[in-house]
Amino acid sequence: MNGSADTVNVELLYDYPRLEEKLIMERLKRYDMRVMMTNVNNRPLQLGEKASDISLIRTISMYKAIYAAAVRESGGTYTVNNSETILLCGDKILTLSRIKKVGLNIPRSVVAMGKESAEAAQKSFKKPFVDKPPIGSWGRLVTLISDPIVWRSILEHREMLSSQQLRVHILQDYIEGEGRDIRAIVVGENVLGAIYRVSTAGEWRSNIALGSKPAYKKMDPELKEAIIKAAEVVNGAFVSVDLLEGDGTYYVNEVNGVPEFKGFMEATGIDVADEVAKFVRSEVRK
Amino acid sequence: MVKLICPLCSSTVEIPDDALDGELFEHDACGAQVEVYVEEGKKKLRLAEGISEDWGE
Repeated sequence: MNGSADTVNVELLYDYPRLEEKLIMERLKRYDMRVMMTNVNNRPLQLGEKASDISLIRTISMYKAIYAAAVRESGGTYTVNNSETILLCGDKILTLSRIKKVGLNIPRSVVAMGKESAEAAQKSFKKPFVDKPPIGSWGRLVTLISDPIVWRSILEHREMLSSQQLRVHILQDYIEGEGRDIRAIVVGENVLGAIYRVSTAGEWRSNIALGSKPAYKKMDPELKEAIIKAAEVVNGAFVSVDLLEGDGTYYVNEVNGVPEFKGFMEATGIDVADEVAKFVRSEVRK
Repeated sequence: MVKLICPLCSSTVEIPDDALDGELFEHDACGAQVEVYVEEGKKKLRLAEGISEDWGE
């Protein structure tokens, strides 16, 4: 990488800026880095162009994130995260396959490419079980199936969706985790910490976007090892790892390639954006 | 704060001075989800697109 501490040029690529992007931008500037904000919705990205020393990929759209990273990589720019990491994280089938391959615990999962195979797959599950598509976030289309009538409706509804990926099912054992899951943030090789995301009454999903409340989670060696391995599997430079607790162990459920961290900051007091800025500075100096 | 026109109800929306191109806001008065965009150096508002299937983190 080129550039020095005095002339570090960082590009932050985004589509719809959230609090996270604004915090990262502010912290980068605090460390005297020159920040270029690129809205990918209105700025064309030229293949082979080297726009900065490092590009932070922060779009809400998963495909825009993959493409933006790939284009910047074509010009030799170091990307956080890189396009392969974002793809691996963005598609839960790819994530879970990689996680399983290295021997980490995941909820027992079966992939069904359509309605017929999903009907066949569900016979091996005790109710309730979880059904979700491979792409998407914030709990969208993630359903806890406890009733055969509801299951049939879900199958019919998903068949009506135009996206091929949304017609694919991941069926999973339901890990009943006291109405909460765990989120950890990893920056570089450092696990910054972990939080519980505690579901609100009447909601079984634990996404902050659905109103779950963040709470501090004490780290333990088994948890830390699972988090580090999961981040390594996707070659993540800045990722969040979501895990479930059950039967006295941890199950890796998701890895996020463009992580949100409002709830994490609220529960831990850790300034994630500052950690990202320091990581960027250290990477450029290498 | 910058005063802009809501594209849905045409009343005034107050947006922070440091709002970024692409930033989303909800207009409390009418409930519209609006997006800041820049045209000829000036900030304006348009209706935001709905959540897409690949949106998230």
